[in-house]
Amino acid sequence: MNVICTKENLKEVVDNALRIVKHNSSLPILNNFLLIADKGRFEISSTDLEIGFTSFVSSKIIKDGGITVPAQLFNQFINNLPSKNIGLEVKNQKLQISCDNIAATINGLGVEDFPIIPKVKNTATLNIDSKILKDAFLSVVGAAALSNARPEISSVYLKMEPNILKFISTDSFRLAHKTLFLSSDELKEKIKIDYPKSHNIIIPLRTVGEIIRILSDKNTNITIGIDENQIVFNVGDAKLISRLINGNYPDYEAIIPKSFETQCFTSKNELEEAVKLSGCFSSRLNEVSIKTSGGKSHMEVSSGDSEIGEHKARIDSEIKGGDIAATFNWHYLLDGLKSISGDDIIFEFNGDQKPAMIRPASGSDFFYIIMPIRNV
Amino acid sequence: MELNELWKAALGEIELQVSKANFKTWLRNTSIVEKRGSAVVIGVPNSFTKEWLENKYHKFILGSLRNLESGIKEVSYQIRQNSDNENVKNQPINREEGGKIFGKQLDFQELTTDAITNLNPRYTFDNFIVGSSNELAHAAAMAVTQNLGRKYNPLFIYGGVGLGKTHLIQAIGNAVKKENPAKKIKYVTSERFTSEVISALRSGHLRPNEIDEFKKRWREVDLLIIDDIQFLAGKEKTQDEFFHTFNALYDAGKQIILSSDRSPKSIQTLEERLRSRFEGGMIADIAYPDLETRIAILKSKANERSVELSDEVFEYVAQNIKKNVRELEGALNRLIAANYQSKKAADLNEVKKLLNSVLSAPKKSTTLKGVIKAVVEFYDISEKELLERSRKKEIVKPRQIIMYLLREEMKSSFPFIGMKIGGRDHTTAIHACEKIKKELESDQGLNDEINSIKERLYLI
Repeated sequence: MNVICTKENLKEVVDNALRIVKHNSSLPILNNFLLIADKGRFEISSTDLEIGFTSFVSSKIIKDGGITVPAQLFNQFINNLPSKNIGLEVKNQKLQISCDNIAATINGLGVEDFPIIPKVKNTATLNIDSKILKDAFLSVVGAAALSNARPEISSVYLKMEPNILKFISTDSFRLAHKTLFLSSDELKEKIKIDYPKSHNIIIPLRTVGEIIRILSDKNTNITIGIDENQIVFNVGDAKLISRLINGNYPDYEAIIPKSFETQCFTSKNELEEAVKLSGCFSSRLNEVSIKTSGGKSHMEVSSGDSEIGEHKARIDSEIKGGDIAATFNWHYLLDGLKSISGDDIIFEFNGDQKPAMIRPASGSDFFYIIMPIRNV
Repeated sequence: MELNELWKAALGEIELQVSKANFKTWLRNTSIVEKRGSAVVIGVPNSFTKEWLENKYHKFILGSLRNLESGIKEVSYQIRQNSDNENVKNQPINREEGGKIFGKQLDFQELTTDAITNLNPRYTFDNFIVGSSNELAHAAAMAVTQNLGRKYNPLFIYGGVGLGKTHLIQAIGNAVKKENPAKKIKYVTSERFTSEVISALRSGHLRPNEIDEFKKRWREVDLLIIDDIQFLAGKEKTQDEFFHTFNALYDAGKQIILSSDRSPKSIQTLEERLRSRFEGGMIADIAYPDLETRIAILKSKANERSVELSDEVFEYVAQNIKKNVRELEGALNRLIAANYQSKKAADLNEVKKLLNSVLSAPKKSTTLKGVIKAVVEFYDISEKELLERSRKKEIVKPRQIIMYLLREEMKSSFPFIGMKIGGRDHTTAIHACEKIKKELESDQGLNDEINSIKERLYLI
């Protein structure tokens, strides 16, 4: 193998590829990148056997071939090179790197032992604008369970129905739900789908995190292929393949309240500020109290700890139904508020022990359900 | 050769041909899932393994299998639907972390139940406390888990509110699931069953498949658990559908478990054919727990929350709350909360003060009028008839029951009872009370009737 490419092109791919590598002691080759030049293209791959990443690097190919090299070392070295053209050449199972007046040799391993990145036999495909996908993932990903105790909810649940895509995540304390209406004027041109009837998949949380990062600020169309066990995201020259979680997503629809006793119309920004402030004073449980006063048309956000001090903020709010006082985890509340665009929101309650809901006052594309903290 | 042994033997041979790291990475968690004639299907945990085995190790695998059984000509690979990290999932759910006592982040209850079986993993035999009041039901439940569909079918468990029916029947489901994950288990409340029947019927007009699908869905389970079956009363179409489901499962030797707040005999408007089927298996009741059991329950609940209370406190609570395990738990919660705030162990006097509001909760006082009203409504007769000198059997029995209740529940004197119930002699009242008392000893049906009248008396 002998190729030449710019540092910028190489660095971008190497950065993304490195995130996939997890230290693996039982199969050392998994700590390596696979570098292959073949049929006029130069490709870098990495995998941890759950996620596989491969991406082409624009470059000039002088000779085909391949090698695997330790990912950390390769990344560190490339990062510190000057922004000039880099030459990569394989000789005797060694990778020779040359850049300007710098030369290095890295001992590699043969390509034969590197895992084969599986192919996805598309049974469903989605063609979607990268910004829309990223926003949809970002608006729910915060509510997904971090712990691996229940892998099926350490995920984003994607429900694909004719004309509707739903993104759902929950950690059993809160639930975020984003809907994309495919026939709306705004999205009609930006999402193309092809799947028989409806199709539901559970995407591991880590995969979602990686794809969000890979999408970063890109503005392009990406293609998603899905089969029974796997999902592949094609982003330009890069490809991320991940397993899907086998299992059943909990019956989340049972959680969604059908009606509410109290409804508050208020400003998201004001509430968000107040909740942030309350974080300074809340105790170990991270609690913030919300108290409504229909008569005075305001909501009171307060927190306090007998050892630190206390805080109170009043927000104008139009309130319908009976008054309520409930306590929430302020992190959870903030997560939900942050996912809402626009300033007018509705905050709805059913007493202080049942789930409350936050949603934008206009539009039905997002809602966030949150369980209160019970005070004894 | 057994599939397991065949694969073990083949792996032994393959191990010699590949590096240890590769062997561990690619061949761990694999198995033979199927062998049909000359074709073998290997189950693999993920698609990476599948690609690897197909492309790199296919020769080794085919070769070593053929060395063991020369008839094997084809090997294919299949990603096995393993449920992720099953062992992690079975860890006890510890949600009390962090805000253990003084406040608790509530969670969505719906999420803790298993999406397919509907069972809540928290209900197990391990945390079910057995006393003389529920010994029989517990033993029957254990027997059922060991002999699914063979020993007691159907198993019918009944008892009052908050005595652990749901706990017990869900524990059966969880135990069976643990022992044999392949078994199809379905737990459902009769209310949910009804609503499924209704929705199947409604959409059935448009899509005839819906009803077939409904039937299929319910008839392919190995263990069907229906809670609060008494709510089927009066719903004829649902009973009809349930009857067929019941028969289909029963004939196929599948286990059915039912729970109710009263015995099959005393569920009114239950079709006779269903009633006789319910009575065909094992009927076990759960009665009010005795003092010792109540103390044991309290102790175990306190232990779950890692709080310590003195024995006399346990005894006091158990002595004063007799009829409902849930209330016991509620009282304990109050104690724990108060205990936390004052940060010292509660002594008995304090406990008495704390529980005062719970224990002296307005107890509905029974009145003469109330008793008559409850009985009259229960038997659907008119009050006027009851007080008249009618000797009709359907009037006499309720009348005697009223007298009995007045004596037992209100401690009225016999002359008072006689006078108020149509100006009768006190000997009539004595006779009535004795007669009912005697019948109660032998007639379970009457027992249930009186219990449900009492329920009306105190609850409504």
